[in-house]
Amino acid sequence: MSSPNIIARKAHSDGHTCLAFSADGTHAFTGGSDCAVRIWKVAEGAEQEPGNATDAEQPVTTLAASDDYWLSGSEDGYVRRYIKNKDEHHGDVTEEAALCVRCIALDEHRTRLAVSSDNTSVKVINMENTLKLTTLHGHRHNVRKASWRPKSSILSTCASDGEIIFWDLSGEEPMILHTIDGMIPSVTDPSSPEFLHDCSAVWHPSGEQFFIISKTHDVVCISGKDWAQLGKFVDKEVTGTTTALAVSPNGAYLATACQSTVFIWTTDKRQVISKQSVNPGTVITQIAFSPKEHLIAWTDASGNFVRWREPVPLNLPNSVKRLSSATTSTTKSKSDAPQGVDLFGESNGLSLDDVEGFEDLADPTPGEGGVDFDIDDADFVIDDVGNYLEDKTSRTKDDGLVKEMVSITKAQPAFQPGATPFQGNKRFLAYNMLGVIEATRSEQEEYNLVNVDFFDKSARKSYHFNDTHKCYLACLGERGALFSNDTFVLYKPYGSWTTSQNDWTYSLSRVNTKVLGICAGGTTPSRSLKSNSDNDLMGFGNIVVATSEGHLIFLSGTGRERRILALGGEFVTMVAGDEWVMVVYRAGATTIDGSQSLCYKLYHFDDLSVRQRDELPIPKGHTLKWIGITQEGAPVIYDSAGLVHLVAKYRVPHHATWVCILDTNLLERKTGKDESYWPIGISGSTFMCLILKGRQEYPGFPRPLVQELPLRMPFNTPNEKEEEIERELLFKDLAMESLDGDELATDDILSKERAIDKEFVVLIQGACKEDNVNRAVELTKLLHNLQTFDIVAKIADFYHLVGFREKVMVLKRIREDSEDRFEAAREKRRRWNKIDTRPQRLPDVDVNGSSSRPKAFQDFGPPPAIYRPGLTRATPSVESTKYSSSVSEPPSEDTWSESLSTSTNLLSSEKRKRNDFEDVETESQIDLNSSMPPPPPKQQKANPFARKPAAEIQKNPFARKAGNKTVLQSESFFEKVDAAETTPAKSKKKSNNFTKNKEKDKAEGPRQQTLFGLFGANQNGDKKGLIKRKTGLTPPPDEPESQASDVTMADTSQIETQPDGWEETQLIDDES
Amino acid sequence: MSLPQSLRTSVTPPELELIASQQLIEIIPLIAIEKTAFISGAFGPLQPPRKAQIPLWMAINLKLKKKCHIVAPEWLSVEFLQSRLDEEINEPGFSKLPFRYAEVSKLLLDVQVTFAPDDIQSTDKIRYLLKDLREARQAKSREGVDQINRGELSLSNLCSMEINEIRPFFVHAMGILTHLHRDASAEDQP
Repeated sequence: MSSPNIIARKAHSDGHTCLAFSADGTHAFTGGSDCAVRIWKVAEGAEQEPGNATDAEQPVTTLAASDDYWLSGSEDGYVRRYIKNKDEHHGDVTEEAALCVRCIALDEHRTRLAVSSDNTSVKVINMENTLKLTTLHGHRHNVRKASWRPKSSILSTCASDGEIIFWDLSGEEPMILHTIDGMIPSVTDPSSPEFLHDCSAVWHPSGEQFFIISKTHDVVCISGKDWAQLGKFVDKEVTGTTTALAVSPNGAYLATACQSTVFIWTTDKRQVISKQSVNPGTVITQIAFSPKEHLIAWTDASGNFVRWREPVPLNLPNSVKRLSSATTSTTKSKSDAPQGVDLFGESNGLSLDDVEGFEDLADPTPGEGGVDFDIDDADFVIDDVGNYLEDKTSRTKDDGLVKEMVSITKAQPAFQPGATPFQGNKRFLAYNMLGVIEATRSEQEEYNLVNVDFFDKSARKSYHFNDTHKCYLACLGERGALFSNDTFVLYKPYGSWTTSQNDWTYSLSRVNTKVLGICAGGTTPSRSLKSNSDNDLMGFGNIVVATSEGHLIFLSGTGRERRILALGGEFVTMVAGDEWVMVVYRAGATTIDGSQSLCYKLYHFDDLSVRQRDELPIPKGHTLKWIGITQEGAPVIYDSAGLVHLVAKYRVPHHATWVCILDTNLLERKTGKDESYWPIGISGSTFMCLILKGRQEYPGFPRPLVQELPLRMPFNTPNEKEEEIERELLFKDLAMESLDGDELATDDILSKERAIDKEFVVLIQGACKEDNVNRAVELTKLLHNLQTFDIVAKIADFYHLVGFREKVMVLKRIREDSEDRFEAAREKRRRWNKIDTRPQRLPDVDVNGSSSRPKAFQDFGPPPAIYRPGLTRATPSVESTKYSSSVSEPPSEDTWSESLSTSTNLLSSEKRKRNDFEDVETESQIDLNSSMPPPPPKQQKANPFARKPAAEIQKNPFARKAGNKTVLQSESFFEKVDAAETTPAKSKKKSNNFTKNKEKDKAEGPRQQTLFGLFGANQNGDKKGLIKRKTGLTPPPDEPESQASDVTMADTSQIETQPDGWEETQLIDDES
Repeated sequence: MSLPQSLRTSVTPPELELIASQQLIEIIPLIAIEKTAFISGAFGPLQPPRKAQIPLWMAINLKLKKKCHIVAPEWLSVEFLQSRLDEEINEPGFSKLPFRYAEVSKLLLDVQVTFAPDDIQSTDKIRYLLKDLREARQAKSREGVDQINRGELSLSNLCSMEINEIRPFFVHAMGILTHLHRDASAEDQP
């Protein structure tokens, strides 16, 4: 948009001006309040001397041109005819009896002229015979404008009361086809400034639709078929009243004048593609496209006549393209037109988006014109935020395939989170939880004044500088601010008082490569960056640059290039945390049903591996508005549907999930208000945003206050407490995940757990009140702290729920017995993150085992018992055996040797020699041996093997727990019972043995009897006892000890009889 | 204080201000501070750009050091005060205002003048409104003198500064009234 393309010239005195091009486009006529019409040669520059036609006695209000004459209408009531391109007066066409002529309009074939004056009737004059005229009566107020619908005999007239009438003049008698009332503003006073504004219906050359300036100052597009509104031309830059508009000869573009600025829109996508402002402060009264040239002209209320050559960016087809390839295109457009009509008819019921798509089909332009800008595709120019979109859509059209369908969904352009386009001469380049980068355009647009301002003034120093590179991308990282324009990247780390000491620049050297996005990540400084010490150690973070080639360039904080990764998709945006960068990209094209099909990848900075990859959860027909990171480090997105999603479990590779944490449409403050939210960040349970009123899309200046809104997961049940708990749990889990290495918990997590437990107690109380014991039990299971169980038990007492109380106590006991949950969680974290180390550990075990035994898989004996200190401590029977072993072992040995066969005796004695197995274990082994006696040497083999797992002490608790749990499933128990039944004598011995062992403690005779009886009489007795113990419904008061001993036996035998692979699976079961 | 020296037995306005400065107010800090324990309680942490609630004295202190923006309370705005003033003029009773509005608004406006005209919009207008409000309410409390009796005095929505203003006089007057009444009843009895 350089100045050579603009030719501006003062033509008339101040006041209303009008403009028309001759039919061949070589001349332009301008009329003004100085009663003169000037005839300009379009080809000549500003210095030319225009021809003058000064016949009018009053200001010239309207002009029209035909092939061999041109016409002017004046306030003196005459419509004068002049010879082609000359100022020779050739008589008057009509006279309006001293009424001001307001508008004259020639139809397509230049045979009929519509004349409107300060009168309620409109004259339609046959230009062949000016005496043949039709008068149209129907308006109740003065008719201000008239225009013809192309390809038909329909005239639209607009009256000053805001009524639009469409006349069908094809027949003898004029007929009112349709009336639209209240669409355009009502302006009755000719001296008011609004009277200068164009109010005519401007028809698209296809005749399918027209454009008009509505009462609300929007330009609306209305279907010429069913008079339904098809859409609005809205752009954030167009803020004032639109005063004039015109459609390009090929119908692809619409020019509108908003005060003194001319905007060019595409008619199909309704997007601004370029703009121009020449004489600020004035009002453009008429605007026109040249019929033959790629040129647009306008006149304004100050009497200026401005021509603008090549108003459309070069990569787009120009405004007259159809005419240049005359024959083919006209036929084509004719053949297209009826088809378009059909499609339009169909599309009426569809949504607006779809209509847009069909317009593409109806529009004759896209097919042509593509030839010469195919080449531009590779290096399209992005000079504004909106333009890329345009490029994209035009490109998809060019290929000649069925891409029209694809272009129905506009592909979202690349953007920087927190950036806005220029509003006036200022814009935000970045806006996040750290601070703001604002850019202010200088007067001559030589440089931008960049202002970097931090919210926390104590941590980083705010500064500003003159940016001669006019960077339009910026990112405010934890360790430095990053700026970029097309190929140039500038990084300014914080902390240096002497500015630009640590700054570095980086530029893309390859041609046709551009920077699409940048971001800087780094760890949050522990203290102020104003003091340098921390900075030096921690470095300046990590920089990522996304290029138009689809590459991600990773740089270190000091500008060292680390690696170039290929993204494999169209880059959209990215954000960096302290250890990773989240890149959003479009893997393929947008889908026909409106989905942007965006995906993301999470690259780790350390090893540049992809930690997560997934689709973004953006609803169809919506776009990604913002991505960021919470203060805790989790990635978050915000889409145009108003939903906030958070990535949970992002540290577990490829297991991240999207959690919806806020629906801004459901916010309490939003009800009854038209406002939207512009997110900045999320801190704890607070959503930080700027609030935009009305249809505002971006925050403006001065900088609005940051608002805090509470997060609320959009649960459907209206129980706020439960929602709050779940949300707190989510954040607690996030905090747990981000723990490192050996950390078990932090004070923060502990206090969070306490708070959550409190909430749980309230909920449990509620459940108890409602007598919903199952819900109460479910909630009790989720409790964190053991003390809370006691509180819950008290609640149960209060509500006299004895059963529930018992369940609580059982749950408590189970919790007490189980492994510390922090350790379990840490183990889980470790496993997630070191998943590849496990296979390495297994061969190690094999090697060790084979040193003692040659054949690892030939061992059919029971797996060895695992030495468990935890077990011994917890179960008194084992303790007693240990204790008694010094005294009463030999006798027990004796009893055994008496009763058992020699082989088993041998075995047990050998075992004792090799390792000091405890009695219980041997005993159960014996049981087994009696039923299925294995050869002794294999027993020996099993022992060293056993020790290794036993060495992993931390796994013991699982094993024990597993034993408790899996007893019920195992068959070995039955085997054991079988054995007990078949050899009653032996089991009696065993029980005797027991009695002996326990004689010191107490006389347990009767109890033992019972136990024995249980054993003998009911095979499942043991099992039942176990169940009882587990559920703990009504444990007999004096039984626990003996039962406990029983359980241990069962346990150990369990483990011993497990197959080899059992232990492994069991462990995993247990942990998960 | 429009009262003679003899009646000024209650607390002085500066003392009331001191009391009012214990109230919490919202600020947007410009510096980060950990949660800090003061005699009056623990406040913080300050984490820009999150808002924080701290006592007024601390807010003013930080403001004077340009370390925070004070978020003006909802009632300290032209619209709110204007509506209250209208209510004050048209309704017989006192309008509902924060109990210590006079002290808090004075403290905030004073700090605005010297340092930050940016935090509160149109301070001049607010000053006028506050002055009008005060006068309207003062007039009403003077009217209340007519209704005074020995038993009770019901003036709902009266604010601390106003109570403070009328307290010495009313207490004295009611004392005398009680005395008179007792005398009368004493005379009646015999």
